[in-house]
Amino acid sequence: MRREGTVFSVCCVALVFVLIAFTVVLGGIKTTTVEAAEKKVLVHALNRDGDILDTIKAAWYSDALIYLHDRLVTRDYNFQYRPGLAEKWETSEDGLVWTFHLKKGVKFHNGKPFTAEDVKWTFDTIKDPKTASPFAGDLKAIKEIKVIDDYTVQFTLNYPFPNLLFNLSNTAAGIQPANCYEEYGEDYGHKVVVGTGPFMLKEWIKGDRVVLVRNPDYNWGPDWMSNQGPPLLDELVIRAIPEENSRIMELETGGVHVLRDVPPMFVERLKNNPEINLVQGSATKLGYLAYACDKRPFDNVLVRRAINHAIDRKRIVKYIFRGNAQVAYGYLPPALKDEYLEESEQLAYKYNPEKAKSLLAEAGYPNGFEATLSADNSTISKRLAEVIQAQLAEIGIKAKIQLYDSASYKAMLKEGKQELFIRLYSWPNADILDWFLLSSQFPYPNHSRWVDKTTDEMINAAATSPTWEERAEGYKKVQRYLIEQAVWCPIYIPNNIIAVRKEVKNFKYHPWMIQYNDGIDIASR
Amino acid sequence: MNNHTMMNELAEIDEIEHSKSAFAECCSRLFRNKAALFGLIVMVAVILIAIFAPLLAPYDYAKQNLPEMLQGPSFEHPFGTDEFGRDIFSRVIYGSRVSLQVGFLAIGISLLVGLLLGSIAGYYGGILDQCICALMDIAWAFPMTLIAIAIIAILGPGLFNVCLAIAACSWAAFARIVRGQFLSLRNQEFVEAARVLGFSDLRIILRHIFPNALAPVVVLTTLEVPKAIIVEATLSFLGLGVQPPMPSWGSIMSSGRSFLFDAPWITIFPGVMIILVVMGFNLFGDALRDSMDPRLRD
Amino acid sequence: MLRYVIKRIFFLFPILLGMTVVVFLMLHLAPGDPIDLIVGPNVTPEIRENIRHQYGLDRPLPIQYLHFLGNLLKGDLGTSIIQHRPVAEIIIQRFPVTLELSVAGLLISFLVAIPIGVKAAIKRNTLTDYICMVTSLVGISMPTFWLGLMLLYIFAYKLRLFPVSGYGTWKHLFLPALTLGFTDAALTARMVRSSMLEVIRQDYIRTARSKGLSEKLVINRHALKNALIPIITLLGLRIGWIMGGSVVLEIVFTRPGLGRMMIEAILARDYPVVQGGMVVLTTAIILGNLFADLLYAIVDPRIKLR
Repeated sequence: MRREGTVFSVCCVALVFVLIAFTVVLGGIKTTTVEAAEKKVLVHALNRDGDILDTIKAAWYSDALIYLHDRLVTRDYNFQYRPGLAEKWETSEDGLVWTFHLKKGVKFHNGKPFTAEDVKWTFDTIKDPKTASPFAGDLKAIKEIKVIDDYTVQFTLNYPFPNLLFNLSNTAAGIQPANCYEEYGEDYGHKVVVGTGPFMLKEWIKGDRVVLVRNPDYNWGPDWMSNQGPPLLDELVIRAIPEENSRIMELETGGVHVLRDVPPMFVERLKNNPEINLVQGSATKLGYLAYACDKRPFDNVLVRRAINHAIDRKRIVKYIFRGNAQVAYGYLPPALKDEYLEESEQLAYKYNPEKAKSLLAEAGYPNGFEATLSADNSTISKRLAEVIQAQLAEIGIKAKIQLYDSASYKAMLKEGKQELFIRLYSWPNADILDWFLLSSQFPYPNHSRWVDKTTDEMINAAATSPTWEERAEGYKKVQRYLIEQAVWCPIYIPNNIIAVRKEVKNFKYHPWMIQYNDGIDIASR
Repeated sequence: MNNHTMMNELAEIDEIEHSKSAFAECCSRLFRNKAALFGLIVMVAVILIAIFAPLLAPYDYAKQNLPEMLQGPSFEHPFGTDEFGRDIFSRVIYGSRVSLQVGFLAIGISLLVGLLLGSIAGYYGGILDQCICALMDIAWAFPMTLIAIAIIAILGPGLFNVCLAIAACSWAAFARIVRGQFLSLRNQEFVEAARVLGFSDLRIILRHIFPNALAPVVVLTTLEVPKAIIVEATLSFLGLGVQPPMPSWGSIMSSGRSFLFDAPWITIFPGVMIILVVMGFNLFGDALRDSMDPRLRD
Repeated sequence: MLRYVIKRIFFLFPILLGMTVVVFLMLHLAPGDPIDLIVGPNVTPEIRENIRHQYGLDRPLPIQYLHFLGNLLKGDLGTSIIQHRPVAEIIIQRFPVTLELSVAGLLISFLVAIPIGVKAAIKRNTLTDYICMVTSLVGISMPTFWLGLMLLYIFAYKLRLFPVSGYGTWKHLFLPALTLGFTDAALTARMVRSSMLEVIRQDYIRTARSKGLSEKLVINRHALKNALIPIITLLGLRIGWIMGGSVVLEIVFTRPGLGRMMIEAILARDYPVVQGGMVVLTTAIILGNLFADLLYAIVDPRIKLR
């Protein structure tokens, strides 16, 4: 008895010690990494973490990539295309040859000078089918890239494509040093990221945060910024916090300084918080209700129009978005100034349940019909689905809600099982219509299953117009036609809402990317 | 032939006599126990609430009234309203249906699977037993929440799929206990006697071993149902449970999480309901177990 | 003893094998294609096929499984489809986060549960007992995530004593560990109590008492030791539970652990990560069980090892 007792006690004590040691070792060590007080650290929160910090391979672009890399073309605060790493560029008469003149004296984070060779390598790698870059499809207009000299590079296109500027100014078009894969191997995009951007990678704790430090050599900021030199911040921390209420709590308790995409229902309470400023602008997003246009009864334009008449968009904007969104009638958001169709509202279908009912009756469904209403399981889609379900019930359409996680949702849309479904797109360019509505995109991403010759012809004519202006006109024509056919039921355009704590100085609203190197500073609390 | 029937009847009478007195004693002990009584009352109450939900709920659980959104508890809305102006009280009442349905259905499925596999393993032994035991160990080793999430990712969310996901994890507990009972009972005299009399295996299992193995299974059931209720709430909380507008306690809490600051009542009331109901089942189950386990008697 | 250990370890393999088959089939039967999540729209079918080929997703299922198994034996868990890096590397980064929470939770649980359970047993049917038992009953009846949310709201948001999210310092660990520890302690305390009650009734305790030993000595020297033996087996089973509990808490407290990684990977159909994660978690749980069994065998001489 005695001996066993001793063994037992020893085991117990040992167990407790092992447990304590574990806790101390795992939990304790990191207490030392608390940043020194004098450093200027700004914390920016996102709803998720990147999978890989490599613009060529990433399918989802973490905000960190905006600051690690520079692009040939930039977009200023008014969404105009401006020089970036390319000082200037010219286009040939036929719009098929683009020549870019590069900035001199630009250096990568590893000290190598930036030259035309890097530009060619970056885009060639993206276009190489072996790389399997998600961005490759957007560059299919490019036929060939030629290095003229160290600071001149020439793009030859397959067809006129004024939208090239947009693609070159995207996060995905960040320039990486030539042959970085050979040099860094599997670590590239995880432990090492090399760009020419204003911030450099210090540390990436997957699923938690990316820590960036200022690039002290940076002096090639775009000319439209007040600060072309290195950022004023010492560190920029990009945290991944998937829970929306955790993000808000962090913001309110000071753990996060800047929060993009504030959910609309928190706007009111953040407005009342004296420690927080809200910056709002119109987003290049569109939320809509779609339907499988090749299935009964949605193949009938009268039914599609009836659904458009049944949705009380103003009520949705008022209660679901608390007024922090715009009512949508057209297929492109007004923030796309050039392509937006001003008369959308006049042409579109107003809320009118009586008219909706009579249209349904005319189409042969006097008592309505039953259908499933699918949505992804994000908070806002869930809420929208419940309100839309109630509004459709008013005109006799009995919708059954089915929620999916994002992977299953895409799978379901690809298989073509959808009837009514809710979508939100976020894209700052009119080519979004090509992608969703061309018959060549059927069945996915053309998930509204809209196969129509007229649409194809109109979109192709617009996309390959020789000039930007003609292209914009072309897309307006497409929109008029889409409204007439009621291909979707556009509902809302959410506001871009950014919450910024009072400590952050000199914050400027940018419609697409926050420019942390443009004089943004932070005061100690 | 005559002989057979007589022996059989004798055995049965003996069993009935035996179980009757044990049952009576068990009941009387249960009712003397106040905690068990409380648990029983909660259980019966929540079952009645679920059955008579349409009569008890003051509002339609799906009726939206947007201008009245996010109101605090008041006389009209005892538990307040949610982000669509729906009455939380009514939704919590209807939510009991989902919780109980999932609780009973999921555990019902586990019970069936567990009884079947457990009795086969326990009665026949040998290689069959080893295979089933390996299967049990696999089910046992899986982290329940994760496996349930994986199953839902495949089958899609929805009430029945949630039940299947829970059952996929909890059948092993039943199988294990049934197997244990069978192992100890299969060599008892009355089973041997039945075997000598040439009864079929099915008959021996169903009429002789089964009734005697039932007690611990009943206890396990009362203790597993609340677990299933909690797992359902967890899955719904993660957005993988029943589909809206059908309310479940977990899904009400999940949507309430976004309003934790402005409308904490959305999250608090269904949480309290879960605690109450799960506590009721646990109290009753504990008391049941104690009353059947003579070693813990005073 | 050694034979028993070897036998138990040997038995690990069929279980792991069965588990990999189940996980593998489940994931590949699920609707949803990881390629969709990797590539954007505007991607030619040629590129899609290329990626599919690159990850071996174009081969028949049994071949894919054998390939996975072969690599597993070499210690290679594959490459994440979405993160483009070895699964083992991802897991090595995430595992400490989960382990840290599980261990801290277990520690809190045992430190709280054992004294409370013993106290409740000694003072059976007194007010102390009732308070302890009602508290633990509430504890086991509470969904972990609900308690987590409430603690988060009160201590992190209202009182601002702890950070809301993230991981790194002991402050980040405290609230989730407390949540996990409390719900687990509730169960453990009940087990300790009933185990203690059973021991107190045993003959040798009566003998010890009748020998005139002080009550304190009887409890500490004789009763507690024996009462804790069954609790050790419980420890093995708790490991699976604790890890399951930390999955949900990693969501509530935004911790970048294995659980969150798994949920994200399941939703994104990142097969290699899910498979690898399951293999690691299951192995951890089975090893935990084995460890507890061995400990049990060491401390309880009555157990004869087969």
